[in-house]
Amino acid sequence: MDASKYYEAVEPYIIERRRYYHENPTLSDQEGPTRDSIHKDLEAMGITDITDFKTCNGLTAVIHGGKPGKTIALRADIDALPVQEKTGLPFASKTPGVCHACGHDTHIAMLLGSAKILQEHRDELCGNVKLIFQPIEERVMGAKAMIAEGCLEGVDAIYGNHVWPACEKGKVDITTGVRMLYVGTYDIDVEGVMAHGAYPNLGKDAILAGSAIVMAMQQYVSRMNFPLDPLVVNIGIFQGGPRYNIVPNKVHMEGTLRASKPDNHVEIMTNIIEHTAAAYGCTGSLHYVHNVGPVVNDAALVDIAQKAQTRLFGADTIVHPDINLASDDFACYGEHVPAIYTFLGVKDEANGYVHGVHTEEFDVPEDVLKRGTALQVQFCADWLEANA
Amino acid sequence: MDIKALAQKYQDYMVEMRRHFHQHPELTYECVETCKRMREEFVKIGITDITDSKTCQGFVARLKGGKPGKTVGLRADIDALPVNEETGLPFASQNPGKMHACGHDNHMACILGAAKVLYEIREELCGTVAFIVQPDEEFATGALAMVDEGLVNDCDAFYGQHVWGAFPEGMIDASAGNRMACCHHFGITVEGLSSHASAPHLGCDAVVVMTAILNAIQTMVSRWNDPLNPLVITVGKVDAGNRWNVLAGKAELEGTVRTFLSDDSVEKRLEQMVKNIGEAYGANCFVHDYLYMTVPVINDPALSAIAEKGIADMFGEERILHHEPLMGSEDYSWFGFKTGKPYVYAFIGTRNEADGRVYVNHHEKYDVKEDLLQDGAAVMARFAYDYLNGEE
Repeated sequence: MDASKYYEAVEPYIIERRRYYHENPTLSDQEGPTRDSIHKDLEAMGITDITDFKTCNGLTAVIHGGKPGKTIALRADIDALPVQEKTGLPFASKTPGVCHACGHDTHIAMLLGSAKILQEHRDELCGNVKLIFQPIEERVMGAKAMIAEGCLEGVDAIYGNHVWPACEKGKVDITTGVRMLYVGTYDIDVEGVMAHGAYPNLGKDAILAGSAIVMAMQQYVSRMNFPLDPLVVNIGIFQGGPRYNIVPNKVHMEGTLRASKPDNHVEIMTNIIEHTAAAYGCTGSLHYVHNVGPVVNDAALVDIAQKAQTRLFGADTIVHPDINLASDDFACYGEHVPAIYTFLGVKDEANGYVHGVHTEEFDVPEDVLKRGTALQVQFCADWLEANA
Repeated sequence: MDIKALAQKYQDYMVEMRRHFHQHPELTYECVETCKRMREEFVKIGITDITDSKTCQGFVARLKGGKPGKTVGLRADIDALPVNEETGLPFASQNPGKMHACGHDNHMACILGAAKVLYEIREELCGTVAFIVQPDEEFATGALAMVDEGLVNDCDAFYGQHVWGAFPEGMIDASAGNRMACCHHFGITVEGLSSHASAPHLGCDAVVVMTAILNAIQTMVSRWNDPLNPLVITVGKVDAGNRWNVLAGKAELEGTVRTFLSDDSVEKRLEQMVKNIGEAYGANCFVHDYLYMTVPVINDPALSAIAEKGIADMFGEERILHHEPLMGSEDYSWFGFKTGKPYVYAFIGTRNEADGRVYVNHHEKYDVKEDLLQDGAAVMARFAYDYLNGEE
């Protein structure tokens, strides 16, 4: 398949749909109307194999190719953010306090554009394409829910993309290896013994023990971690003690950990917390939650995507920025099947497209969307052909 | 131009040279005989345009090609280590307590082999090859001495290589970008106030202040540094106090910084932290002897591409390695950094478990399969040829 023959023609459709979804955003776990609308859009294309998910507002649809082969999945996330839009766009959000500040409206539109092309030319495909419209990305729960309900059944590999304002318009980040970081969050509780502030010898100072834990955790980063693996251990909340003249018996901390690997963070942190607290005569405990794994791009998929992009728009449109310190629950799919996540550049200073994702003024130049669709389509077709 | 075949012709010569230098290692700052022999070999090859260093036992030998063009510097380091050899080789070191445990004997053999190859094709060469024979790498002073003397001012680009015990035998890594971290040295002085150990309120405890500084500077790594920039700050030596029942009045710390930054931001931040932590405890604390011993080795992408193309062409893509950067250091980077010229540094893997070659550089049993000498010479000569002649 040669996507370059098809993508220009679907541009009006992509932009029209983008504006519709931009105007009608739905928050995480409230995406029912968005899902229903996508369902209708797909039906209008003649796609019939559509599944609405029960445990979340997700939807999958399968386009059956004309030739035998494997199944490749394309994923778009669909939820909006609790942000009051200030773009001034004529098609700005109609819902106060809710907008597509992370560009998921464009993800929906690009995938619908791809669906239109792939459905129309399905006879050329060596296998099937499964479209995954995923909710609750902003709370990193949607991918897990959809996987649990079976969205990856029969899927051999998956592709996802994100519009990205740190990357110049016209460029695409298609890079092998770790691209976005693992995230864990945790609570740490320290328990000591309360006493009058004038008699510290009668108590066990939980704030002091907590301070020692904070310092000791820094050395997990600086002394215990391999220097080439990015690691951030952040304690964002530290609360302790009821009153200025009391030796405090309780400290509560909350934090987040970012790393390139899930690794044995819990084991190491538990060891530091328990023993440091014990050294101060207190007890320390860790309550740790793995939120989302790192996004790791498969080398073979990257190779196919790079060749597809080169064929469509030239090798000089491919860039390899540093690892993105943010996270995405697209990582969950990669734990089951080979995965690739690309970042579509939307930064265009000359035309005012400079605002970051998750800001009230975030917007993208719409003329890049057809290129995102073109890459999706070309990648799908090439991957299916290469793996038939 | 079949440089691989040319290099193979000189394999026996390179083995002879490698064994000679392996048998007669000389330590850093003592490379008199090594330098003399290397010089004699260049003259024997026919390369007689030699500029001797006035400040170290090194020299630059220049081979002018038959056609005009640029100048490329090829570098080999020549000093040995204070290690007692335990390889059991028939040509083991004859100097007790000294050994070419870092493999510089191989570097010398390869540059001589490359010199023979390039001399043979000199009429074809567009430009000049400067063979940089450098001592005192192990103390990271040789490269700087030669650059500061102006010995490599004519070079437009540099190539260097190292045999590497941690990488699989025969694999060659000339990757672009960060390759080896810088090496900085620093000292920290803590001036507190001594007192009787039973009366700490009369003194200012240098041990406590020192510990606060040690803890604080680790937060430079964990909280100040960009998480994507590898940074290591190690305080390897501390010396505080005189006696168990006397409050320590003074502490001396010594450490190193390894990172891929080429600026002075770590030094500035360290000074700020040390001074202020000291003041918080009522002590006078300062950083001293902050020495930039090496800058990071960061390979120029265009030169890496030239090197990798040559390697792939001669030995196949499967011999190319892309290992992650190393936190160790090399003074080779001074040549490019000080002259502002691009450079590339390649690693030639030497680890082979089946042959028992499992020891890393600086180990008393470190050894290199000699078949690799012809490959090393070929990669070096090919880079010089492709760099000079590729831009015709």
